[in-house]
Amino acid sequence: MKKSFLSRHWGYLFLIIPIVLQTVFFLTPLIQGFFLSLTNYTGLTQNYDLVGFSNYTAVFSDSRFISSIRFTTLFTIVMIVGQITIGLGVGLLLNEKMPGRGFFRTTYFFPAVLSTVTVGLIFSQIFNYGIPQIGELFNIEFLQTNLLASASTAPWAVSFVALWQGVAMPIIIFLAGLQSIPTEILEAAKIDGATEVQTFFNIKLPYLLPSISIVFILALKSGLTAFDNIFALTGGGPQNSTTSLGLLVYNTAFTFNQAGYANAIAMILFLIIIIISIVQLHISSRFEV
Amino acid sequence: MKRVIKYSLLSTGIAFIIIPLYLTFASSVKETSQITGNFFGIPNPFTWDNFQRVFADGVWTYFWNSTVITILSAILIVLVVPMGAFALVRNMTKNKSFKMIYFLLIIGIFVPFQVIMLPITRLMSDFNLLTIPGLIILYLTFSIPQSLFLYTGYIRAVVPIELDEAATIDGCNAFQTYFKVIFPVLKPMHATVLIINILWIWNDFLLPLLILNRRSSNWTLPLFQYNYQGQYFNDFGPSFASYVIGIVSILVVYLIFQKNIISGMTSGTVK
Repeated sequence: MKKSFLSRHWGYLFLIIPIVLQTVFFLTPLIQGFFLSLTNYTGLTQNYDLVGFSNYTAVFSDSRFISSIRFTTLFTIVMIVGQITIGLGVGLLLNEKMPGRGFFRTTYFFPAVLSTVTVGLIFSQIFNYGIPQIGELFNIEFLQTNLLASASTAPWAVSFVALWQGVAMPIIIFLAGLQSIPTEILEAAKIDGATEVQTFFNIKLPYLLPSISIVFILALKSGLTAFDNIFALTGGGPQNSTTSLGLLVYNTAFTFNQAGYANAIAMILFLIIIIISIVQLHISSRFEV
Repeated sequence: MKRVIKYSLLSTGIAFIIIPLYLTFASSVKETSQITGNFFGIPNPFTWDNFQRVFADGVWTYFWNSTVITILSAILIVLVVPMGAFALVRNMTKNKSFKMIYFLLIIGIFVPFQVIMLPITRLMSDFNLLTIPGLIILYLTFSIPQSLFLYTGYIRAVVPIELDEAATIDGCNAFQTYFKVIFPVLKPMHATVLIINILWIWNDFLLPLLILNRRSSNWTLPLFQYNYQGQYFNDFGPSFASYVIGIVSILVVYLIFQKNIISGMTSGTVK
């Protein structure tokens, strides 16, 4: 019996829309993006010349890029450390059955469903009008000015806002990880007289390694590509002190009209993420048995 | 004693979360002079003026734009992606070109958006797609890597091939098999994929900024909030009202679907 066209080729038919979309709206711009990174394209006019890899070497003497790397590194480290420690801490506190647990869980997770840009806008107002009023009331000098307006405090203020929203997901991930630990093991440890600290380091922590690795990767990616909240809070200022790499690409392309150069920075960001992902995969495959 | 420490620690955390939200609500019903003069005080006089101003400035249009974009994109995602995932899972083991397709479709997971940000904006402008339909096409495209990954994993794990073989014996062609037998079985994964994508699209800012910013009648709610704050630089009462509208709309959905949202968002990112 001869098979119908449909029964032989249904696989491709089912995939035709994703393939077309992915080719036109993702792979094409991806290749274009790489190509443009080798040009002096401004984004304003249609003509440009190939300049080889000079955009890539130019970053090393670009003070904006260097300060962006500095801020992005700080911000990403704060994200990783903050999300793991606070997430783990609250996760441990919420792990036992107790009255009000449902309320705590619901409230702690809520920031995760809010729009990041809305959160940024709200905190920009709080830093602008709210915090200085506290500073004046209690006569604390450094709080009397807008923390977002000074290059020395803005990176920390921005990190605080990102953490305010960023710890919500890790709390639930750690809580789920804690609940996957078999209760018999914990009970056995109790009978053997293990202290809580011993139980944490010898039983809970090994079980939580996969959760830690997930939170690590999520925090890392959100740190390196941060955009929305910083855009709303500071726009990258003052004096580029809060320009994340993600924001630097945007500003370079659309504010400074150096589109080719902006694409080179984006490719470098891509490269950083690939390298870290490979390293992380190696490490986590060693932990997971 | 231990309990007291525990509750006070947890309550401190809760205060950190709730105070900024409370301040937003309180400021939205204050006069601007009171926001600058007494940010932490109780609203006095209490006023709905800010909300009236935001509604007069057309907040419903932006709310509606966000709703249309989110719902249409979500429907398209659930129509297009699981179908492709099913085709991939059933053909990948025996046919190498499907492996290649799978790889090309999920590679986006590793690519930061900034890499394609500028070329995609140019491309959409060349196609005359700096419009709401254009944005929906992009959401559908950019949802593919993660959603496809989730669906293929799910199909591999819980949808046995005997199911489609039985349907074929009953005389179903590929389309009938998929829509009548496979699609309904994927219901739990549809829920997860819908939650992840709806929250992402509803809250997204950068794509609407790139695609819709030129024409204000196309703005989404977050884009409106951003532009609104810039517009009323010294008169921010109405801005607070616009945040409250955003927070309340998501809070209502969150309280209704809380369990699904928490498990969907965490399982979606964990896998």
